[in-house]
Amino acid sequence: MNRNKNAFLPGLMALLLIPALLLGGSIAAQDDPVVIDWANDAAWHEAGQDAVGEASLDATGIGVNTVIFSSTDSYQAAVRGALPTDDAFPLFDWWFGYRMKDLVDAGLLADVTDIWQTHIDKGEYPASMMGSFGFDGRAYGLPKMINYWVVFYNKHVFAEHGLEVPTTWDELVAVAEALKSNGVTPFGLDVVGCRWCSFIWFEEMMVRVDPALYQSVMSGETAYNDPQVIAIMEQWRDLLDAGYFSQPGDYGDDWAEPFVSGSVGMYLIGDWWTAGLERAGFIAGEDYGIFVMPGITEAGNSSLIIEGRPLLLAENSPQRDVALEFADYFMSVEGQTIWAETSDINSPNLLAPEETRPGHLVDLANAVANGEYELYTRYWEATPPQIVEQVVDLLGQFVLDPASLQTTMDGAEQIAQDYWASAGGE
Amino acid sequence: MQAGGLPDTNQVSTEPHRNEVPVTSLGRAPLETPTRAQAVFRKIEPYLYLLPALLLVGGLLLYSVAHTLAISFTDWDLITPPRFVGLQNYVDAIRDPTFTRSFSNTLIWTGGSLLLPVGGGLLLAVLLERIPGQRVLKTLIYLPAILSTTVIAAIWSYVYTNNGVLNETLRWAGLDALARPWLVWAPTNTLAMIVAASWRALGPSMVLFLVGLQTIPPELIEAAKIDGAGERTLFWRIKLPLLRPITAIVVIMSVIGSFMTFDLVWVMTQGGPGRSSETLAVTMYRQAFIMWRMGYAGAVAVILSTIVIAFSIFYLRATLKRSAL
Repeated sequence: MNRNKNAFLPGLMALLLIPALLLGGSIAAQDDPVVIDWANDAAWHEAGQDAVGEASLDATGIGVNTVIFSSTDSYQAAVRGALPTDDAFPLFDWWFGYRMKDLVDAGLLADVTDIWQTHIDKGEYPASMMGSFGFDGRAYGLPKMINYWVVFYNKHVFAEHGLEVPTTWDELVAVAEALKSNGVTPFGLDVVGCRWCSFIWFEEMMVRVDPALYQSVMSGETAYNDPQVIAIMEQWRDLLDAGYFSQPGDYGDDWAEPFVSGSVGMYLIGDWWTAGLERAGFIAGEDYGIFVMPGITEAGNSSLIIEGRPLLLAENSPQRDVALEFADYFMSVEGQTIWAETSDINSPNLLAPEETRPGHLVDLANAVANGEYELYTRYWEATPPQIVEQVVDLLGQFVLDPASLQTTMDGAEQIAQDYWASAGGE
Repeated sequence: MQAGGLPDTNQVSTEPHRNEVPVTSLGRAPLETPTRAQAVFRKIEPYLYLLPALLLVGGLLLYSVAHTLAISFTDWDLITPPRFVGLQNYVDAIRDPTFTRSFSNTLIWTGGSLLLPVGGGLLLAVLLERIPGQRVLKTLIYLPAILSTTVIAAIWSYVYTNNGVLNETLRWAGLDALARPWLVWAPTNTLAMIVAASWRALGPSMVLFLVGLQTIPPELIEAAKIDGAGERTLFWRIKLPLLRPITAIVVIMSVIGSFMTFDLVWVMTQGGPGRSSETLAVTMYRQAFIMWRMGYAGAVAVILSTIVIAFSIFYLRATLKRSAL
């Protein structure tokens, strides 16, 4: 009995202390900084994410812990597997457009439309940009990166052969012809080591001729083997037949070397290639420049293909609301300035200081900000991946054998029809 | 039994008494009469020792196999609950022309792996057995085996480019007609990758055959030589039959390896261009981690595993039967 009596007092004290400790804990939690995970598969983003996290911690009390995956495939599998559960990463990078649609349809992403609207109202982002990060007027992703798809040209090669940056389609073809006749491959294109690269010229030719037709094919309203599309493909085929492209099998896994050495004069690619060329010691402005491909028609003159890397927020994460607060900071001018400065990227925030932008992209960024270009989502994300992943293989075959144009487009249309039929005409 | 003395080891008591210590023919005195619990424990005791290993294998292997089999009957994209679709994934796979192409490419890989690493390894082992300076040659041939597949793929990608080492060498030798884009057209791309894979696999299979050759009793060789057997007869009639167990191991390893061919193809061509160099393992990976069709990928995995297991059983049975004769 004595033992029981002795135990009674400490037990009672412990019972009284528990609510106090819990209360104290919750008070501490409110005051304590919160750190949430931010996953991605791009190791070169780590320093930028950490810097934004530190700034956010000071400004809002919310920091981030960067989680890097070394392989894109394992990253995607890990993120997708965790998304339906409480273990979902609160913040994670993804691919925009249709690449995030199944996550939206499954209700796995937090709606960030209000955050977008706040910053659009402040004039920080063009209203048209939000559409690439969501569906049906709602946004589910934030613009971590926006890349423009432009032509990189070797300045030394152009100077050596007395060539100017082309401003019309005819001038572009003339430049290609001049390079070819001087033993320089006009355009680099690798569809052997890079299976997805086959779509680059398909989308570009489409938007240079008829951007509305491009969007119509992407949404399944126009067939891949529609006579208008075939006519555009024939123009690409003529360029292939004219010998303006590198030969299949020319490359190992290094695209930079032929461009740096001057055996290839131009590359049509996303502006993210800047970092790759920098690693190869090729400096923007000095060694190479960029230009937007001229339109084949008037409508095609103001088209610009964009690629976005969205930051997504997991709906099922217990830290969803904290992530939303961080997202607001990330989109702000302050957050974007730090992100751009520490990552050498071109911030999509229009009010981000000009000095944070890579020099060769300033003019283009300003032109986009002034509304001089209509932005079109690149093919990889503009239509369902179930179609893209199969059509890129067909387009790769077309590059190898341009005579297979009709078969390629018939095959692509069959794939598209199968998808849209199974998706219930979505 | 002598009181206080050692037990008579020749006597085995059939009815042990409490005060007597019965003796077995092995000279070990058993413990007291076991209780029911002890008897049960003794029965299950051996299995308890096996339990950790069983749990490990069961957890890591059998569960994965069962799980893969289960998802092969579903439509599952990792983010929505799996939906039972019966045999639909198997029907889709068999009807899919890409699956058929992957299957034929895998068979080419199997044939190539038997010819180059197995046949070549055997040939090298026999040749190197008696060549002076064999240690250096063996080391050189084995060296690529220590490289990772990614490194090998990167090296051979450069060898096979249009202006790579291979084409330049052919042009230098005046064989311009043979120079070509090696990784572009089927089936040349698959054959080119088999050569790259064999560069690595040749060394280990050569070493296995060398070990096998060393186990052949020298007196057998001597006796055959005295009987007038030449080198060719020695190889076909003595060495090759006696190498059968090693050959079985090398063949099984090569066939399983060729059916699982993934990493080299993924790095060098990603199964392209236009899926022309895809193998079954690449198809499985693409369906799982690019198309997010886990069910379809599971069906491919089940088909792949069934073929490998069936081949292994039949081949081992046939080989062991012949060895026993």
